[in-house]
Formats: sequence, C-alpha cells, structure tokens
Amino acid sequence: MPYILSIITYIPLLAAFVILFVPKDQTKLIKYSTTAVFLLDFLLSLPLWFGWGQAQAAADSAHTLWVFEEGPFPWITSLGASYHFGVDGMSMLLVLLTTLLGVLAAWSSWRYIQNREKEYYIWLLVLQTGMLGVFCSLDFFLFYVFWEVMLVPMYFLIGIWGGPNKLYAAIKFFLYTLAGSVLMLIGILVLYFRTPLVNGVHSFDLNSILALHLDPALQWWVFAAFFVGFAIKVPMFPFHTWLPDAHVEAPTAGSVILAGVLLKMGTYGFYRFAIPILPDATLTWLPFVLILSIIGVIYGAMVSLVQKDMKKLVAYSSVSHLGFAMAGMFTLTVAGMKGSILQMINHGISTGGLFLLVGIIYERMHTREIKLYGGLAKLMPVYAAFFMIITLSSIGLPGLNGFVGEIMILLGAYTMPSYLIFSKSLLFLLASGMLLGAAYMLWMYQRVFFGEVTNPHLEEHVKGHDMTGRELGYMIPLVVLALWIGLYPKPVLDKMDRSVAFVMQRLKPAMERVEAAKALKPPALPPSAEAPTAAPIPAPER
Amino acid sequence: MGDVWMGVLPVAGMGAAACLLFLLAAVIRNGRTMNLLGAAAALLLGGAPVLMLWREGGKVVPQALLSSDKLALFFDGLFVIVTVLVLLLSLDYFRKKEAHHPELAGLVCLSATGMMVLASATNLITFYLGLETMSISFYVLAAFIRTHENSMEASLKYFLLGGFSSAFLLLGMAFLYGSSRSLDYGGLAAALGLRMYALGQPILMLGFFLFLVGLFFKLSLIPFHFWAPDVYQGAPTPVSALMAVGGKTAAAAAAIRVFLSVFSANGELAQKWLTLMMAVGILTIFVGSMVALTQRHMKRLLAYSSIVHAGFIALGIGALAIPALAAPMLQAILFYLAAYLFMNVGAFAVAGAVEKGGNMDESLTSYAGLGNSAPALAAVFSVFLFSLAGIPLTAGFLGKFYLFRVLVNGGYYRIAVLGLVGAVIATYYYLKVVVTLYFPSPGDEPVPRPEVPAWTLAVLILTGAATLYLGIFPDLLTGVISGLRIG
Repeated sequence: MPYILSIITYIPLLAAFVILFVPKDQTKLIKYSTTAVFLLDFLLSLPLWFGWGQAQAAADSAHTLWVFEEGPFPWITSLGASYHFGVDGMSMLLVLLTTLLGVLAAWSSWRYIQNREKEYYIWLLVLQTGMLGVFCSLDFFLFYVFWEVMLVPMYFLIGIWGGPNKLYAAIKFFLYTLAGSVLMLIGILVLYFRTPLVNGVHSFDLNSILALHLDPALQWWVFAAFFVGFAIKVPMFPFHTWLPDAHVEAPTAGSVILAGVLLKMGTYGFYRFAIPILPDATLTWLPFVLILSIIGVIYGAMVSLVQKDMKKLVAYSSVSHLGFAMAGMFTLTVAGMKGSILQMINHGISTGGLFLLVGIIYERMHTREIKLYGGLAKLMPVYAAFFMIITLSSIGLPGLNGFVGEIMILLGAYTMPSYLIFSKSLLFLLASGMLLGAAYMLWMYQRVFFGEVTNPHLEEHVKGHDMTGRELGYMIPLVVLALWIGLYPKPVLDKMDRSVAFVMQRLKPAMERVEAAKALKPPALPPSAEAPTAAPIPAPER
Repeated sequence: MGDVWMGVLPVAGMGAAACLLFLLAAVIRNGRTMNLLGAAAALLLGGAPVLMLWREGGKVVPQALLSSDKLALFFDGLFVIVTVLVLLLSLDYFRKKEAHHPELAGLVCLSATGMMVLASATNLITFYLGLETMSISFYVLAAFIRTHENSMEASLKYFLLGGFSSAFLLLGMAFLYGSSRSLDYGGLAAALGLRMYALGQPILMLGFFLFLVGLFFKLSLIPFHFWAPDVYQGAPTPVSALMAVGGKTAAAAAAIRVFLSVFSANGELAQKWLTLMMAVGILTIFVGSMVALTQRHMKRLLAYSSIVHAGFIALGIGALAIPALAAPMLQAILFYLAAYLFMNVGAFAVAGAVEKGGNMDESLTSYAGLGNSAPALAAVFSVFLFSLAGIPLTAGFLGKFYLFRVLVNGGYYRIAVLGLVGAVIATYYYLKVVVTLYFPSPGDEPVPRPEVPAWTLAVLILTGAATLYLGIFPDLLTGVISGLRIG
C-alpha cells in the first residue's frame, strides 16, 4: 500500500477531528469508536511486518536504508524542510509497538476514565499521531515538529486525568522536555547550516545531513546539544527526575504510553540521529554515556527497592531498564545494539503490562500502597498469574522476552572492543542490575500477593472480582508477545539486521581511527643504546 | 500625478480616512456605524494604495522624507490589518462598556497614519512626526473610557512617560543634527561611516544613544518598560491590542530602517550596536519572563508577554547592522512581527471577550474552567498561548525559529542558547494560563460562559486561522517578504 506510513500516522488525528463533533454525552460511542480506530490503526500497521521482506528487497534495490519511503516532498521551501517519511527495521518495530500499545491503552481506559471522556480520547488519538510521526520522520524539521507537538496532548492527559499532584507533574514534564529539545534544536540548526545549498536553501533532510563530513570538534558540541535533548527523554540519570512524577500522576493509559513509547524516543534519537550523524563524538562521549547508563541501571534499581507505591516502583524500574538499553547501544557492537533495540521493545511490553496490571488493581482498591496489600494471590488467582508472567518478563527470566534483550546487551559488553573504554570490567556492573531487578520485582510480588490477607477492605473490594474479560483481552496479547519473543526472537532480530549494519558501518571509520591511535601509542620503549637517528627526516611529500 | 505624490499615497490615504471619519463623526453619532465605516475607510483609502504601490514594486523618491519602498509597504499592510481588526473588536467591546464614541474610528486611523509615517520615515523630522502622531492618538485612546479611573490613569501615565521619552528623543536628534549637520538618514550614515570622525564625536554618539533610548521606550525594552503593564492594563482592551501590536511594530519598523541604513554604515561600530541590542534583548527576555511569572491579571500578563517578545525582536534588530546577516535577519523579523500581530490581537480579543462590563482587566481566576464552559473559546485561546510560547505548528514557533536560525548561522551560539532558555521560562507562564483554562483548582468558581459577539468571533476565527496557517504553511508569507530591503 503506498503511503502506508502516512495513513497509519494520520488516521488517529483524523478520527480525533471527527470525534470533536460527537456530542460529549455519547461516551459509549466515543470510547468504542476510539478503540476501534486504534485497532484499525494497528491492523493497518501489520502489513509493515508481514510485507517487510518484499519492501526491504525493494529498498535494497533502490540502495536506500529507508523502507516504505515517502517523499521527500517540499514542505516549507524557504527553509528547506520537506515532508519525508520512512522507516528502517528498528523504527518499524517501534511503530508496531506504538500502534499495539495504543489499542491497549484505549481499551484499558474504558472504566478508569470517568469524566470528560470526549477530550480524553481526543488527546489520546492526537498523541498517537505525534508519536508515530516522530518514528517515521526522516526530515529533521518534521521530526522536531512532531517531537514538540506531542508534548501538548501528553500534558493535557497528565494534567486533567492525573492524580492529586497532577499539575506539578504535567508542567514539570512539559518544561523539562521543552528545555532539552530547544538545545537539541540548536544542534539541529548547526548541522542544517553545514548542508550544501540547493536552490539557495540548506536542507533538514536526514540523508543530506548523513552525507556531511563533520569536524570532530564540531561533532562534540552537536552531540552535547543532542545529548541533553535525548537524555532527558530517555531519561538517563541525572535527568530522570521528571519521570517518577509524571508516571505516578498520569492515568494508567498515560503511563503505558509514557513508558511504552515516549521513553523510547530518547533512545531512538540516539540511535537514529546522534550515533550515525556524529560517529566521532559518539566515541568521545562513549565512556561518559556508559557510566551514566550504568549509574542509571543501579540507581534506578536501588530506588525501586525502597518504593512504597507500586506505580512509583515500576516507574523507577524504567530508569533502570532504559539504562540497560542505553548501555547496550553504546557498546557499539552488533549484539549490543540489537539487544538494546529489543530491550526497548521488551520494556514497552513488560513495563506497559505492569502499569496496566497496577491500573487493574487500582480501579478496585483505589490505592497503590504496597503495604495495604498482601495475600492477593488467594483472592485473584488469575490476576496473580498474569502479574507473575509479566514480572518474570521484566526480570529477564530465560524463556521470556526480557532475557533475550539483556543477555544480548551483556554479550555486547563482553565483545566490545577494549580500545573504546578505559575499563571494560565496569560494564559487568550491568549484570548486578539484573540481580537487583529480580530483587525489587520479586519482593514487591511477595508483599502484594503472598502471605495472609491483612487488609479487610481487600476481601470486600477484590474477592470475586478477578480480571474481567476486557482486562484479559488487553493483557493476553502482551503475554503472548513476551513468550514469543522469549522463545523465538529470530524474526524480530532479523528485522534489525540492515539498520544495525548501517549504524555500525557509519561508526567504522571513526572506530578504526581510534584503534589506530591507541595502537600507535608507544608501548614504553625499551631503553636502547642507539641514539635516535640524527638523519634529517624528509618532509612528507604532498 | 507626480512620483512624489505617488510615494506618499498610502500615508495620505490613511490620513484622509482619519480626517473624513472625524468630519463624519460630527454627523453620525452612532459609534458602531462609525467603527464599521472606519474599518471600510481604512481598507479602501489605506489598504488599496498599499496594494497598488506594492504591485508596482514600491515607489522611492530621491531626497524625499518618506520612502514607500516595499519594506515600508509591507509594514503599511500590517498596520491596515491591525486597524481593521481593532475597529471590529471595538464594535463589540465599547458596546459592552456602554462607552461608544463616534470619534474612536478617526483616532485609530490617525494612529495608523502615524505608524505608517514612522515605518517609512527616512529623515529624523518625519520620524518624529510619525512617532508623535501615533503617540498622541494613543494617549487619547487610552483614556477613552472616561468614567473609568484605570483608563484615565493609564492615559496619564502613558502621556507623562511618553513625553519624557520624546524629550530624550528630541535631545538626541538635536545632538545628531549638531554634530552631523544632517537630519537625513543618509547624511547620518555618512557621518557615522567616517570612523575616526564618529568616534571623535562624543556628541554624535550620545545623540545616537539618546535616540535609541526613545526607541527602546516605544518598544518597551527593559529598563524602559515600566509603562507598558500599567497602560495595557488600564486602556480599553482593543486599544491595548493596538498599542501592543501596532505601536510596537511601528517602533520596530523604524528601528529596522535605522539599523539597516544608518548603523550598518560603520562596520566596526556595527558590532557594538549588535552587542548593545543583544544585551538589552537578553535582559528583556529574562527579566520580562521572570516578572511575568508573578502576574495575576490577564492584560498585565499579556503586557509582559509583549515585553518579552520585544526582547526577541531586539536580538534580531541588532543583527541587522551586520551586512552578512542583514538580509536573512530582516526576513526573520518581518515574519516574527506578522506572527506577533495575529497571535497578539487574538489573545487580546479573548481578554476583551472575557472582561466583564465594569472591569478593565480580569484576574486569571476569571478564566478558571473556561475549557469546560466555553470549549471553543478556550481552544482558540490555547492556540494563541501556544503560539506566543513558540510551540510548533503555530506562527509563533516559526517566528522564533527563523530568528534563531539566523543567530546560529551567524555563530552567536551563546546568545541563541540564552534566548531559548528564556523562551522556555516564558513558556511557563503561558502554560499557567492554559492550566487555569483547563484544570481549575477545586477552590475556583467555574466561570459562566462569556458572550462572544459576532465581530469578536470573526476576529478570533481570522487570527486563529492565520496563526495556524502561518505555522504550518509559512511559504505564502515568506514568499512575500523574501527580497524586501530598504530603498
């Protein structure tokens, strides 16, 4: 289907526009039709997966990385901004994740959202368009527009339907991300002005920016600007402080999308823009990024351990998981990068699932305080089983999706060229992150599900109210995916081949330079009797 | 008709419209009819000659005191648009205040005449004439609701402080004339161009400095901004819009011409003007945003917002003195000013609609929950607020984007970073208004749905559509402004 990416991206926006004219007391109509639109969007995105082989072959014969490419069509000619869509294996997977989580998020909101439904579903749809646009844009200006515009619906989702401290969380989320992205904008502009003039204007097109040969000193600065923008979004330690606030206050669907998709935009930004455009700076910044990622992994896990609120615990675990993804990406190995991408998807599945599960119990008990629970396994056995599977997927138990991603990242760390970082053993601190992850998740599970029922309300509100059909409906796909990726990840990993190979190929010259420089360093010459030759060194020929 | 007459046709047309309206006001005592007549007269007598001359590529007469080049015509067009929008807003606003006066239309057109003169002046005398024509009309317009204390206070404050700034300006002009023997911009440029001569002439430099102070006052750049919040708050809301948009655009237009034709004459001094403008601009952005954070009233908030926007424009105007940056920066500023026009008139229109009969300004709590009671009004207001904040898909974003694009291209990274950080701070107070609209705190009483009369609605639709359209498809406007230059 031609223009499939645009169709997928704009269908939600179109639907939002239509729903604008539906009377607001028609809540049933609104929520069913919104969910139907999300489902339609998801179904439309499936050809991306099933038609991938053919489309990839077509892209190969056209000698381009971008599959399902659209454009570039001129948009703002005075700026050189164009409308250019396309995906590679990595962003295709993220698009699918987004459309899938969109369905689940809308479906899970049916009961949770009880006021101002019309606005809620409209914002959810607009947000979907923004997120898909970010993953599909191959023009830096277009990308920036989607990246910023997406803040507005998220801001409203947190601000209107959030918890008690929602305003603070919403504004903090907005300003934090905005501050990062305006710095990124300066980085984008610096690159923009390096592109050759075509018809008197520079270009924002990713292809022409990738074609640039940039001076390493300049790269360093641009990387710094990108780093701030993307690291806030990931979020990397120490830029993560907006995340717990936003997550805890956001409604369940908001958290699912925030964790499942929005956080991936930071890692996506590093993978799509920072690393391939700025390979030299990537190598210079590498130790710094790796150390921050490792701190994030361990810090996120430690903080999760002490949380009293389930949702906050899951929120901090995101810091840890995305630290993992960042570390994997910056091992600059094929295994590490693939593991990193898989970790992004896994995080969407398992953390999205955890937020949905926490939302399910919250709808019944209206509290997320861990100590108010206990013995839930007796009252809600099905729920406990689902929670267990998703927990194990989050921990990385072999046979489930989390394991594959994490083991590949560790493999990447193991095979990482040692000339890139001063101490490779540092990377094995990552493994301790896995251990801590098991600790906080299982400990929470134990406190919530095992033991005696201590809270009398629990019996009253929960007994006999195990998961409903709807809740099962939106949890089962996640569990199936977790099992599938855990048992047979090959189809997913194969989709990333070209994309990762491209990034590695971009990095190759810079890595060779660094390797050569390290090799040239004289390994402490043995004292020689002969004085250095006095013969005049001939000037190198030009 | 001779060329000389052709050149002054837009100014003469708008002036004629003003005189005609004053005469008619003696006969037609209905304020609403007069406002409609005024809008029509501004379009026909002011707008038509502008379009006509634009088609011919402008009309520049050597040795004339006014230049009707395309740059001036572009500004004339903006002033005509503001005049029409403000008159339409006044139709509904003054009825609500029960203070309709038939003279309003004439005064608004007279102030527009002043703006047009200011934008096309190439001589200190015409510059001053334009400035005073505009300002004196503003003094009267600010006091238009005579029965209201705030309105009187606003007018008096503006008059006294405006008089002060005019005195500075006149003194500066006297110094300039005394040291360069010229009132013409060309002559001033020649005097400034002789570097040794210029630096050896403290009087000349002092003259320029005082001249700039007068301009800074009209642009309400910090530290000459104190009048703006009080005046915008106390003046009738359509008049506030006229002052915030028309007055500032006219002052910016005059500054643009001075920087392009005079300050660029001396390459080494140009860098100093640039530094001065950037310092003032950054200071204005930061102080303005910080003070705006504490505001509790809508029109005061919009006043501080317009101060901050003037800061951004000042960053751009400084770069005009550098020949390498002048052409792209001029386009950026023109785009910014056009965007500023639509989003600001729109925001003031909302403020005017929400205002109750007896008040001149409403506190932010009067906007609480407007998203519920008047969703369409709140939505269009949000568009203006996001545009003022500079969120993409709005004209305000592209205005800032074009501006910072040139700064980055010129290598002014630090200024760009500082300016953008200021923009993020500024976003906070716009968000605060959005918060009030959509997330009322439990204590706030829900406000009833404000009445939005037909003409106000028309203005809102027009400005809202323009704000979004320019934000998504700016090529129409950039096509118009590309290649504009003085002379």
